[in-house]
Amino acid sequence: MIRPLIEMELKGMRIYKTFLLVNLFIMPLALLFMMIMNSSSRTPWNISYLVSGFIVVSLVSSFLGTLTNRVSNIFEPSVLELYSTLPPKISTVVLAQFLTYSLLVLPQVLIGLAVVLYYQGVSKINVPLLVLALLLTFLELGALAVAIGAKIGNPYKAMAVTGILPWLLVVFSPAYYRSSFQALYLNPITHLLSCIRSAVGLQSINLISWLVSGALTVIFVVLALRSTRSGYMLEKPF
Amino acid sequence: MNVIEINTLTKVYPDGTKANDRISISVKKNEIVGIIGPNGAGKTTLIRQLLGLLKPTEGSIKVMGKDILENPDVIKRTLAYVPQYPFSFPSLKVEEVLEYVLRMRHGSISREEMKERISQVLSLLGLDGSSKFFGYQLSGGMRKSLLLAMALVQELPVLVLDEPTSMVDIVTKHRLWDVIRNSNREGILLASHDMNEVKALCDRVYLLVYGRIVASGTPADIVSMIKMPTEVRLIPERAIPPNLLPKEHKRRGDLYEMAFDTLGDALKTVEAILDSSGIAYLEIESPSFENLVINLIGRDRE
Repeated sequence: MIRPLIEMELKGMRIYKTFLLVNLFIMPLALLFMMIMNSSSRTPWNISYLVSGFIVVSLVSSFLGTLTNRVSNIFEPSVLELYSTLPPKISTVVLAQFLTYSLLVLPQVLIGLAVVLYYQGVSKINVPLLVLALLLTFLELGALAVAIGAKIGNPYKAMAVTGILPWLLVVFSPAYYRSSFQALYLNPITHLLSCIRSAVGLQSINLISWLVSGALTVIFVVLALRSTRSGYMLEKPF
Repeated sequence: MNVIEINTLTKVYPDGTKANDRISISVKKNEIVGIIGPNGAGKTTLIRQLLGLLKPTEGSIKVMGKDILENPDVIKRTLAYVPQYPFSFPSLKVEEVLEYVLRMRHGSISREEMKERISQVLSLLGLDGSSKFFGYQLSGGMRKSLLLAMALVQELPVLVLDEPTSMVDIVTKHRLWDVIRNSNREGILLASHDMNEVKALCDRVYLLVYGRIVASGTPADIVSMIKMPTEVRLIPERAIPPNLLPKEHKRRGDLYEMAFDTLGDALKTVEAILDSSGIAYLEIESPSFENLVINLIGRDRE
Protein backbone atom coordinates (compact mmCIF):
# COMPACT_ATOMS: atom_id res chain seq x y z
CA MET A 1 0.00 0.00 0.00
CA ILE A 2 2.85 2.39 0.87
CA ARG A 3 4.61 2.00 -2.48
CA PRO A 4 1.79 3.20 -4.75
CA LEU A 5 1.15 6.07 -2.35
CA ILE A 6 4.79 7.19 -2.48
CA GLU A 7 4.81 6.83 -6.28
CA MET A 8 1.60 8.84 -6.44
CA GLU A 9 3.09 11.58 -4.24
CA LEU A 10 6.26 11.72 -6.34
CA LYS A 11 4.33 11.78 -9.62
CA GLY A 12 2.11 14.44 -8.12
CA MET A 13 5.16 16.71 -7.92
CA ARG A 14 5.79 16.67 -11.66
CA ILE A 15 4.26 20.06 -12.33
CA TYR A 16 6.24 21.62 -9.48
CA LYS A 17 9.55 20.12 -10.60
CA THR A 18 11.27 23.46 -11.30
CA PHE A 19 10.08 24.87 -7.98
CA LEU A 20 11.28 21.75 -6.16
CA LEU A 21 14.60 21.71 -8.00
CA VAL A 22 15.26 25.31 -6.97
CA ASN A 23 14.06 24.93 -3.38
CA LEU A 24 15.38 21.50 -2.56
CA PHE A 25 18.65 21.54 -4.48
CA ILE A 26 19.81 24.76 -6.11
CA MET A 27 19.18 27.17 -3.22
CA PRO A 28 20.48 24.95 -0.40
CA LEU A 29 23.48 23.86 -2.43
CA ALA A 30 24.23 27.46 -3.38
CA LEU A 31 24.35 28.27 0.33
CA LEU A 32 26.63 25.33 0.92
CA PHE A 33 28.80 26.44 -1.99
CA MET A 34 29.21 29.89 -0.42
CA MET A 35 30.21 28.35 2.91
CA ILE A 36 32.84 26.21 1.24
CA MET A 37 34.13 29.14 -0.85
CA ASN A 38 34.60 31.02 2.41
CA SER A 39 36.67 28.20 3.88
CA SER A 40 40.04 29.91 3.31
CA SER A 41 39.19 32.50 5.97
CA ARG A 42 37.82 29.93 8.41
CA THR A 43 39.08 26.85 10.23
CA PRO A 44 37.78 23.37 9.28
CA TRP A 45 35.95 23.33 12.64
CA ASN A 46 34.16 26.58 11.72
CA ILE A 47 33.14 25.25 8.30
CA SER A 48 31.87 22.00 9.84
CA TYR A 49 29.94 23.98 12.46
CA LEU A 50 28.20 26.03 9.74
CA VAL A 51 27.51 22.99 7.54
CA SER A 52 26.03 21.03 10.46
CA GLY A 53 23.77 24.04 10.96
CA PHE A 54 22.96 23.93 7.25
CA ILE A 55 21.84 20.28 7.55
CA VAL A 56 19.33 21.08 10.27
CA VAL A 57 18.18 24.32 8.59
CA SER A 58 17.54 22.37 5.36
CA LEU A 59 15.36 19.93 7.25
CA VAL A 60 13.48 22.65 9.10
CA SER A 61 12.81 24.82 6.06
CA SER A 62 12.21 22.17 3.37
CA PHE A 63 11.00 19.10 5.22
CA LEU A 64 8.93 20.63 8.01
CA GLY A 65 7.29 23.23 5.76
CA THR A 66 6.44 20.99 2.82
CA LEU A 67 5.21 18.10 4.93
CA THR A 68 2.99 20.40 7.03
CA ASN A 69 1.40 21.78 3.85
CA ARG A 70 0.79 18.35 2.34
CA VAL A 71 -0.65 16.88 5.54
CA SER A 72 -2.96 19.87 5.96
CA ASN A 73 -4.25 19.16 2.44
CA ILE A 74 -5.02 15.55 3.35
CA PHE A 75 -6.96 16.71 6.42
CA GLU A 76 -9.27 18.98 4.43
CA PRO A 77 -12.83 17.68 4.94
CA SER A 78 -13.42 17.00 1.22
CA VAL A 79 -10.16 15.01 0.91
CA LEU A 80 -10.95 13.06 4.08
CA GLU A 81 -14.34 12.24 2.57
CA LEU A 82 -12.66 10.88 -0.57
CA TYR A 83 -10.12 8.80 1.35
CA SER A 84 -12.80 7.49 3.75
CA THR A 85 -13.84 4.89 1.16
CA LEU A 86 -10.47 4.38 -0.58
CA PRO A 87 -8.38 1.45 0.70
CA PRO A 88 -5.50 3.23 2.48
CA LYS A 89 -6.01 4.53 6.00
CA ILE A 90 -5.21 8.19 6.57
CA SER A 91 -2.30 7.16 8.81
CA THR A 92 -0.84 5.19 5.86
CA VAL A 93 -1.26 8.15 3.49
CA VAL A 94 0.52 10.42 5.99
CA LEU A 95 3.29 7.86 6.54
CA ALA A 96 3.80 7.72 2.75
CA GLN A 97 4.08 11.51 2.68
CA PHE A 98 6.58 11.45 5.56
CA LEU A 99 8.72 8.90 3.69
CA THR A 100 8.44 10.75 0.37
CA TYR A 101 9.61 14.09 1.76
CA SER A 102 12.30 12.40 3.86
CA LEU A 103 13.66 10.90 0.62
CA LEU A 104 13.52 14.26 -1.11
CA VAL A 105 15.56 16.11 1.53
CA LEU A 106 18.00 13.26 2.01
CA PRO A 107 20.41 14.43 -0.77
CA GLN A 108 20.91 17.82 0.95
CA VAL A 109 21.60 16.07 4.24
CA LEU A 110 24.00 13.58 2.68
CA ILE A 111 25.91 16.26 0.76
CA GLY A 112 26.17 18.31 3.96
CA LEU A 113 27.44 15.29 5.87
CA ALA A 114 30.00 14.57 3.15
CA VAL A 115 31.36 18.11 3.55
CA VAL A 116 31.50 17.72 7.36
CA LEU A 117 33.23 14.39 6.94
CA TYR A 118 35.78 16.00 4.61
CA TYR A 119 36.64 18.79 7.03
CA GLN A 120 36.32 16.85 10.30
CA GLY A 121 37.85 13.56 9.22
CA VAL A 122 36.34 10.10 9.68
CA SER A 123 37.88 9.59 13.10
CA LYS A 124 35.84 12.32 14.74
CA ILE A 125 32.48 11.01 13.52
CA ASN A 126 30.52 8.76 15.89
CA VAL A 127 28.46 6.92 13.27
CA PRO A 128 25.86 5.23 15.55
CA LEU A 129 25.30 8.50 17.39
CA LEU A 130 25.02 10.38 14.06
CA VAL A 131 22.43 7.89 12.76
CA LEU A 132 20.48 8.27 16.00
CA ALA A 133 20.69 12.08 15.86
CA LEU A 134 19.48 12.16 12.25
CA LEU A 135 16.70 9.69 13.04
CA LEU A 136 15.59 11.85 15.97
CA THR A 137 15.71 14.97 13.78
CA PHE A 138 13.62 13.40 10.99
CA LEU A 139 11.14 11.91 13.45
CA GLU A 140 10.78 15.01 15.61
CA LEU A 141 10.34 17.42 12.71
CA GLY A 142 8.17 14.98 10.72
CA ALA A 143 5.87 14.29 13.66
CA LEU A 144 5.65 18.02 14.42
CA ALA A 145 4.72 18.67 10.77
CA VAL A 146 2.02 15.97 10.88
CA ALA A 147 0.58 17.23 14.17
CA ILE A 148 0.44 20.85 12.92
CA GLY A 149 -0.85 19.92 9.44
CA ALA A 150 -3.58 17.67 10.85
CA LYS A 151 -4.64 20.32 13.36
CA ILE A 152 -4.87 23.07 10.73
CA GLY A 153 -6.50 20.93 8.00
CA ASN A 154 -6.31 23.69 5.42
CA PRO A 155 -3.27 24.23 3.16
CA TYR A 156 -3.94 27.97 2.81
CA LYS A 157 -3.90 28.50 6.56
CA ALA A 158 -0.94 26.12 6.83
CA MET A 159 1.05 28.31 4.44
CA ALA A 160 0.89 31.15 6.95
CA VAL A 161 2.31 28.88 9.64
CA THR A 162 4.96 27.32 7.43
CA GLY A 163 6.01 30.78 6.27
CA ILE A 164 6.88 31.95 9.78
CA LEU A 165 7.56 28.84 11.89
CA PRO A 166 10.76 27.58 10.17
CA TRP A 167 12.08 31.11 10.07
CA LEU A 168 11.58 31.53 13.84
CA LEU A 169 13.03 28.11 14.59
CA VAL A 170 16.14 28.84 12.53
CA VAL A 171 16.76 32.44 13.62
CA PHE A 172 16.46 31.63 17.33
CA SER A 173 18.81 28.67 17.20
CA PRO A 174 22.62 28.58 16.99
CA ALA A 175 22.53 27.13 13.47
CA TYR A 176 24.73 29.75 11.80
CA TYR A 177 26.14 31.53 14.86
CA ARG A 178 27.55 30.62 18.24
CA SER A 179 25.78 31.59 21.42
CA SER A 180 25.41 30.30 24.94
CA PHE A 181 22.28 32.38 25.57
CA GLN A 182 20.08 30.16 27.75
CA ALA A 183 16.76 31.19 26.12
CA LEU A 184 17.87 29.49 22.88
CA TYR A 185 17.43 26.18 24.71
CA LEU A 186 13.69 26.74 24.66
CA ASN A 187 13.92 26.06 20.93
CA PRO A 188 13.86 22.33 20.05
CA ILE A 189 16.15 23.02 17.07
CA THR A 190 18.93 24.09 19.45
CA HIS A 191 18.81 20.63 21.03
CA LEU A 192 18.74 18.84 17.67
CA LEU A 193 21.78 20.88 16.57
CA SER A 194 23.53 19.91 19.78
CA CYS A 195 22.81 16.20 19.13
CA ILE A 196 24.12 16.32 15.55
CA ARG A 197 27.18 18.39 16.47
CA SER A 198 28.10 16.05 19.29
CA ALA A 199 27.81 13.12 16.86
CA VAL A 200 30.24 14.71 14.38
CA GLY A 201 32.74 15.75 17.07
CA LEU A 202 32.01 19.47 17.07
CA GLN A 203 31.07 19.54 20.75
CA SER A 204 30.89 17.24 23.71
CA ILE A 205 27.79 15.14 24.29
CA ASN A 206 25.10 17.17 26.00
CA LEU A 207 22.86 14.67 27.76
CA ILE A 208 20.12 17.22 28.38
CA SER A 209 19.81 17.94 24.65
CA TRP A 210 19.53 14.23 23.89
CA LEU A 211 16.89 13.77 26.59
CA VAL A 212 14.91 16.84 25.50
CA SER A 213 15.03 15.79 21.84
CA GLY A 214 14.00 12.26 22.75
CA ALA A 215 11.13 13.47 24.92
CA LEU A 216 9.92 15.98 22.30
CA THR A 217 10.07 13.29 19.63
CA VAL A 218 7.89 11.01 21.74
CA ILE A 219 5.40 13.82 22.44
CA PHE A 220 5.16 14.90 18.79
CA VAL A 221 4.86 11.29 17.59
CA VAL A 222 2.03 10.66 20.09
CA LEU A 223 0.27 13.84 18.92
CA ALA A 224 0.73 12.87 15.26
CA LEU A 225 -0.56 9.34 15.89
CA ARG A 226 -3.58 10.65 17.78
CA SER A 227 -4.45 12.94 14.87
CA THR A 228 -4.01 10.33 12.17
CA ARG A 229 -5.59 7.38 13.94
CA SER A 230 -8.70 9.07 15.25
CA GLY A 231 -11.81 7.23 14.01
CA TYR A 232 -14.04 10.26 13.52
CA MET A 233 -11.78 12.80 11.88
CA LEU A 234 -14.33 15.51 11.35
CA GLU A 235 -15.66 15.23 14.89
CA LYS A 236 -14.95 18.73 16.11
CA PRO A 237 -17.06 21.80 16.86
CA PHE A 238 -18.12 23.73 13.77
CA MET B 1 -31.13 -7.45 4.33
CA ASN B 2 -31.04 -3.81 3.29
CA VAL B 3 -27.93 -2.54 1.56
CA ILE B 4 -27.95 0.59 3.74
CA GLU B 5 -30.09 0.91 6.83
CA ILE B 6 -30.09 4.08 8.88
CA ASN B 7 -32.19 3.91 12.04
CA THR B 8 -33.31 6.90 14.14
CA LEU B 9 -30.03 8.65 13.49
CA THR B 10 -29.48 11.82 15.49
CA LYS B 11 -26.44 14.03 15.33
CA VAL B 12 -25.97 16.89 17.76
CA TYR B 13 -22.79 18.96 17.38
CA PRO B 14 -20.93 20.08 20.50
CA ASP B 15 -22.37 23.60 20.07
CA GLY B 16 -25.87 22.10 20.45
CA THR B 17 -26.85 22.23 16.76
CA LYS B 18 -29.07 19.27 15.92
CA ALA B 19 -28.08 18.53 12.33
CA ASN B 20 -29.92 15.19 12.02
CA ASP B 21 -33.03 14.39 14.04
CA ARG B 22 -34.14 10.75 14.24
CA ILE B 23 -33.55 10.03 10.57
CA SER B 24 -34.43 6.59 9.25
CA ILE B 25 -33.49 5.71 5.70
CA SER B 26 -33.18 2.36 3.97
CA VAL B 27 -31.72 1.40 0.63
CA LYS B 28 -32.99 -1.98 -0.51
CA LYS B 29 -31.19 -4.29 -2.90
CA ASN B 30 -30.98 -2.92 -6.47
CA GLU B 31 -32.54 0.34 -5.39
CA ILE B 32 -31.48 3.93 -6.03
CA VAL B 33 -32.53 6.15 -3.16
CA GLY B 34 -32.33 9.92 -3.19
CA ILE B 35 -32.01 12.47 -0.40
CA ILE B 36 -33.07 15.96 -1.33
CA GLY B 37 -33.14 19.06 0.76
CA PRO B 38 -32.03 22.68 0.84
CA ASN B 39 -28.63 23.86 2.08
CA GLY B 40 -28.27 23.24 5.81
CA ALA B 41 -30.82 20.41 5.75
CA GLY B 42 -28.28 17.96 7.17
CA LYS B 43 -27.37 15.96 4.04
CA THR B 44 -23.62 16.42 4.46
CA THR B 45 -23.78 15.50 8.16
CA LEU B 46 -25.71 12.37 7.25
CA ILE B 47 -23.19 11.35 4.57
CA ARG B 48 -20.22 12.06 6.85
CA GLN B 49 -21.70 9.75 9.49
CA LEU B 50 -22.24 7.11 6.82
CA LEU B 51 -18.57 7.50 5.79
CA GLY B 52 -17.43 7.12 9.42
CA LEU B 53 -16.09 10.66 9.68
CA LEU B 54 -18.64 11.80 12.27
CA LYS B 55 -19.92 9.82 15.22
CA PRO B 56 -23.70 9.57 15.52
CA THR B 57 -25.10 10.95 18.77
CA GLU B 58 -27.89 8.35 18.67
CA GLY B 59 -29.11 5.72 16.26
CA SER B 60 -27.33 3.26 14.04
CA ILE B 61 -26.06 2.86 10.50
CA LYS B 62 -25.77 -0.54 8.89
CA VAL B 63 -24.06 -1.19 5.56
CA MET B 64 -24.61 -4.63 4.00
CA GLY B 65 -26.09 -5.73 7.33
CA LYS B 66 -23.10 -4.66 9.42
CA ASP B 67 -23.16 -1.86 11.96
CA ILE B 68 -20.45 0.63 10.98
CA LEU B 69 -19.73 1.54 14.60
CA GLU B 70 -18.89 -2.08 15.39
CA ASN B 71 -17.36 -2.85 11.97
CA PRO B 72 -15.81 0.38 10.64
CA ASP B 73 -13.89 -1.64 8.01
CA VAL B 74 -17.13 -2.35 6.17
CA ILE B 75 -17.06 1.22 4.83
CA LYS B 76 -13.79 0.81 2.96
CA ARG B 77 -14.66 -2.71 1.85
CA THR B 78 -18.11 -2.06 0.39
CA LEU B 79 -18.69 1.64 -0.24
CA ALA B 80 -17.54 3.71 -3.18
CA TYR B 81 -18.08 7.43 -2.81
CA VAL B 82 -18.32 10.32 -5.25
CA PRO B 83 -17.77 13.62 -3.45
CA GLN B 84 -19.57 16.82 -4.24
CA TYR B 85 -16.48 19.00 -4.71
CA PRO B 86 -14.93 18.41 -8.16
CA PHE B 87 -11.33 18.22 -7.07
CA SER B 88 -8.62 16.57 -9.07
CA PHE B 89 -5.07 15.37 -8.71
CA PRO B 90 -3.51 18.22 -10.72
CA SER B 91 -0.26 16.51 -11.59
CA LEU B 92 -1.60 13.02 -12.29
CA LYS B 93 -3.00 11.86 -15.60
CA VAL B 94 -6.56 10.53 -15.70
CA GLU B 95 -5.39 6.95 -16.35
CA GLU B 96 -2.77 7.21 -13.59
CA VAL B 97 -5.39 8.19 -11.00
CA LEU B 98 -7.46 5.11 -11.87
CA GLU B 99 -4.35 2.95 -11.94
CA TYR B 100 -3.41 4.01 -8.39
CA VAL B 101 -6.97 3.47 -7.16
CA LEU B 102 -6.90 -0.06 -8.59
CA ARG B 103 -3.43 -0.80 -7.22
CA MET B 104 -4.53 0.34 -3.77
CA ARG B 105 -7.74 -1.71 -3.99
CA HIS B 106 -6.28 -4.85 -5.59
CA GLY B 107 -2.52 -4.96 -4.93
CA SER B 108 -2.01 -8.05 -7.08
CA ILE B 109 -4.01 -6.98 -10.14
CA SER B 110 -2.24 -7.70 -13.43
CA ARG B 111 -1.27 -4.84 -15.74
CA GLU B 112 -3.50 -6.25 -18.52
CA GLU B 113 -6.55 -6.49 -16.30
CA MET B 114 -5.90 -3.02 -14.93
CA LYS B 115 -5.69 -1.56 -18.44
CA GLU B 116 -8.83 -3.39 -19.47
CA ARG B 117 -10.85 -2.13 -16.51
CA ILE B 118 -9.57 1.44 -16.86
CA SER B 119 -10.31 1.46 -20.57
CA GLN B 120 -13.86 0.17 -19.97
CA VAL B 121 -14.73 2.74 -17.35
CA LEU B 122 -13.17 5.61 -19.32
CA SER B 123 -15.11 4.63 -22.39
CA LEU B 124 -18.33 4.38 -20.38
CA LEU B 125 -17.87 7.91 -19.09
CA GLY B 126 -16.67 9.40 -22.37
CA LEU B 127 -13.21 10.05 -20.98
CA ASP B 128 -11.33 7.72 -23.35
CA GLY B 129 -9.97 10.69 -25.28
CA SER B 130 -8.79 12.35 -22.08
CA SER B 131 -6.89 9.47 -20.48
CA LYS B 132 -3.55 11.27 -20.93
CA PHE B 133 -4.85 14.60 -19.61
CA PHE B 134 -3.40 15.91 -16.37
CA GLY B 135 -5.84 16.77 -13.59
CA TYR B 136 -5.24 20.49 -14.00
CA GLN B 137 -6.31 20.25 -17.66
CA LEU B 138 -9.73 18.81 -16.87
CA SER B 139 -12.96 20.80 -17.00
CA GLY B 140 -15.41 20.70 -14.08
CA GLY B 141 -17.52 18.07 -15.87
CA MET B 142 -14.49 15.92 -16.64
CA ARG B 143 -13.39 16.09 -13.00
CA LYS B 144 -16.81 14.93 -11.86
CA SER B 145 -16.69 12.13 -14.44
CA LEU B 146 -13.26 11.11 -13.19
CA LEU B 147 -14.51 10.98 -9.59
CA LEU B 148 -17.34 8.73 -10.74
CA ALA B 149 -14.82 6.64 -12.69
CA MET B 150 -12.74 6.26 -9.50
CA ALA B 151 -15.81 4.95 -7.71
CA LEU B 152 -16.92 2.62 -10.51
CA VAL B 153 -13.54 1.11 -11.35
CA GLN B 154 -13.32 -0.39 -7.85
CA GLU B 155 -16.48 -2.47 -8.55
CA LEU B 156 -17.80 -2.20 -4.99
CA PRO B 157 -21.39 -3.15 -4.18
CA VAL B 158 -22.60 0.17 -2.74
CA LEU B 159 -22.35 3.60 -4.31
CA VAL B 160 -22.82 6.85 -2.37
CA LEU B 161 -23.07 9.97 -4.51
CA ASP B 162 -23.08 13.54 -3.25
CA GLU B 163 -24.41 15.80 -6.00
CA PRO B 164 -22.68 13.80 -8.72
CA THR B 165 -23.67 16.10 -11.57
CA SER B 166 -23.47 19.55 -10.01
CA MET B 167 -21.40 21.95 -12.16
CA VAL B 168 -21.75 19.58 -15.12
CA ASP B 169 -23.07 20.47 -18.60
CA ILE B 170 -26.36 18.96 -19.72
CA VAL B 171 -24.85 16.44 -22.16
CA THR B 172 -22.38 15.11 -19.60
CA LYS B 173 -25.15 15.12 -16.98
CA HIS B 174 -27.31 12.79 -19.07
CA ARG B 175 -24.32 10.55 -19.77
CA LEU B 176 -23.54 10.33 -16.05
CA TRP B 177 -27.18 9.58 -15.28
CA ASP B 178 -27.12 6.70 -17.78
CA VAL B 179 -23.91 5.35 -16.26
CA ILE B 180 -25.28 5.59 -12.70
CA ARG B 181 -28.61 4.01 -13.71
CA ASN B 182 -26.86 1.09 -15.46
CA SER B 183 -24.05 0.62 -12.97
CA ASN B 184 -25.57 -2.57 -11.51
CA ARG B 185 -24.67 -1.82 -7.92
CA GLU B 186 -26.44 -3.54 -5.06
CA GLY B 187 -27.60 -0.16 -3.83
CA ILE B 188 -27.09 3.53 -4.51
CA LEU B 189 -27.65 6.45 -2.15
CA LEU B 190 -27.74 9.81 -3.88
CA ALA B 191 -27.82 13.24 -2.23
CA SER B 192 -28.76 15.99 -4.61
CA HIS B 193 -30.13 19.48 -5.06
CA ASP B 194 -31.18 18.66 -8.61
CA MET B 195 -34.82 17.61 -8.57
CA ASN B 196 -34.65 16.42 -12.16
CA GLU B 197 -31.73 14.20 -11.25
CA VAL B 198 -33.58 12.65 -8.34
CA LYS B 199 -36.70 12.19 -10.48
CA ALA B 200 -34.68 10.64 -13.31
CA LEU B 201 -32.64 8.25 -11.18
CA CYS B 202 -34.30 7.41 -7.90
CA ASP B 203 -36.75 4.68 -7.04
CA ARG B 204 -37.48 6.38 -3.73
CA VAL B 205 -36.82 9.82 -2.34
CA TYR B 206 -36.43 11.24 1.17
CA LEU B 207 -36.99 14.95 1.63
CA LEU B 208 -34.80 16.35 4.39
CA VAL B 209 -35.53 19.74 5.97
CA TYR B 210 -33.85 21.14 9.09
CA GLY B 211 -32.38 17.72 9.86
CA ARG B 212 -35.70 15.87 9.71
CA ILE B 213 -37.33 13.76 7.03
CA VAL B 214 -40.53 15.57 6.13
CA ALA B 215 -41.61 13.37 3.22
CA SER B 216 -40.61 10.12 1.58
CA GLY B 217 -41.80 7.85 -1.18
CA THR B 218 -41.43 7.50 -4.91
CA PRO B 219 -41.12 10.77 -6.86
CA ALA B 220 -44.74 10.13 -7.91
CA ASP B 221 -45.80 9.75 -4.25
CA ILE B 222 -44.26 13.10 -3.46
CA VAL B 223 -46.01 14.73 -6.43
CA SER B 224 -49.34 13.43 -5.12
CA MET B 225 -48.78 14.87 -1.64
CA ILE B 226 -49.85 18.36 -2.52
CA LYS B 227 -52.42 19.46 -5.05
CA MET B 228 -50.72 21.91 -7.33
CA PRO B 229 -52.61 24.34 -9.55
CA THR B 230 -52.23 23.67 -13.27
CA GLU B 231 -52.48 26.19 -16.07
CA VAL B 232 -53.61 25.27 -19.58
CA ARG B 233 -53.34 27.41 -22.71
CA LEU B 234 -54.95 26.12 -25.87
CA ILE B 235 -56.31 27.13 -29.26
CA PRO B 236 -59.29 24.96 -30.30
CA GLU B 237 -60.01 24.04 -33.91
CA ARG B 238 -63.67 24.88 -33.40
CA ALA B 239 -65.62 26.85 -30.76
CA ILE B 240 -65.60 25.27 -27.28
CA PRO B 241 -69.04 24.54 -25.75
CA PRO B 242 -69.35 26.91 -22.71
CA ASN B 243 -70.21 24.05 -20.32
CA LEU B 244 -66.72 22.57 -20.83
CA LEU B 245 -64.90 25.70 -19.76
CA PRO B 246 -63.83 26.01 -16.09
CA LYS B 247 -64.84 28.97 -13.93
CA GLU B 248 -61.40 30.50 -14.15
CA HIS B 249 -60.65 31.13 -17.77
CA LYS B 250 -59.73 33.99 -20.09
CA ARG B 251 -59.96 34.33 -23.82
CA ARG B 252 -57.48 36.33 -25.90
CA GLY B 253 -58.53 36.02 -29.50
CA ASP B 254 -58.42 32.33 -30.30
CA LEU B 255 -56.27 31.51 -27.23
CA TYR B 256 -57.97 30.19 -24.09
CA GLU B 257 -56.17 30.42 -20.75
CA MET B 258 -57.59 28.14 -18.06
CA ALA B 259 -56.65 27.47 -14.45
CA PHE B 260 -57.37 24.23 -12.54
CA ASP B 261 -56.83 23.11 -8.96
CA THR B 262 -55.20 19.83 -9.96
CA LEU B 263 -53.47 18.29 -12.94
CA GLY B 264 -56.19 15.61 -13.05
CA ASP B 265 -58.97 18.19 -13.51
CA ALA B 266 -56.95 19.92 -16.22
CA LEU B 267 -56.41 16.70 -18.19
CA LYS B 268 -60.09 15.74 -18.01
CA THR B 269 -61.11 19.12 -19.43
CA VAL B 270 -58.45 19.00 -22.16
CA GLU B 271 -59.68 15.55 -23.19
CA ALA B 272 -63.29 16.76 -23.35
CA ILE B 273 -62.27 19.78 -25.44
CA LEU B 274 -60.26 17.54 -27.78
CA ASP B 275 -63.31 15.31 -28.35
CA SER B 276 -65.75 18.15 -28.89
CA SER B 277 -63.73 20.91 -30.58
CA GLY B 278 -60.31 19.55 -31.49
CA ILE B 279 -57.07 21.26 -30.38
CA ALA B 280 -54.75 23.24 -32.69
CA TYR B 281 -52.32 24.35 -29.98
CA LEU B 282 -51.81 23.13 -26.40
CA GLU B 283 -49.58 24.22 -23.56
CA ILE B 284 -49.86 22.70 -20.07
CA GLU B 285 -47.91 24.04 -17.13
CA SER B 286 -48.18 21.07 -14.86
CA PRO B 287 -46.82 20.97 -11.32
CA SER B 288 -43.06 20.56 -11.52
CA PHE B 289 -41.30 18.28 -9.06
CA GLU B 290 -39.14 21.23 -8.11
CA ASN B 291 -42.14 23.40 -7.23
CA LEU B 292 -43.63 20.58 -5.23
CA VAL B 293 -40.51 20.17 -3.18
CA ILE B 294 -40.30 23.92 -2.61
CA ASN B 295 -43.92 23.85 -1.43
CA LEU B 296 -43.26 20.92 0.88
CA ILE B 297 -40.22 22.66 2.35
CA GLY B 298 -42.21 25.86 2.76
CA ARG B 299 -45.08 23.99 4.40
CA ASP B 300 -42.70 22.31 6.82
CA ARG B 301 -40.96 25.57 7.74
CA GLU B 302 -44.34 27.12 8.56
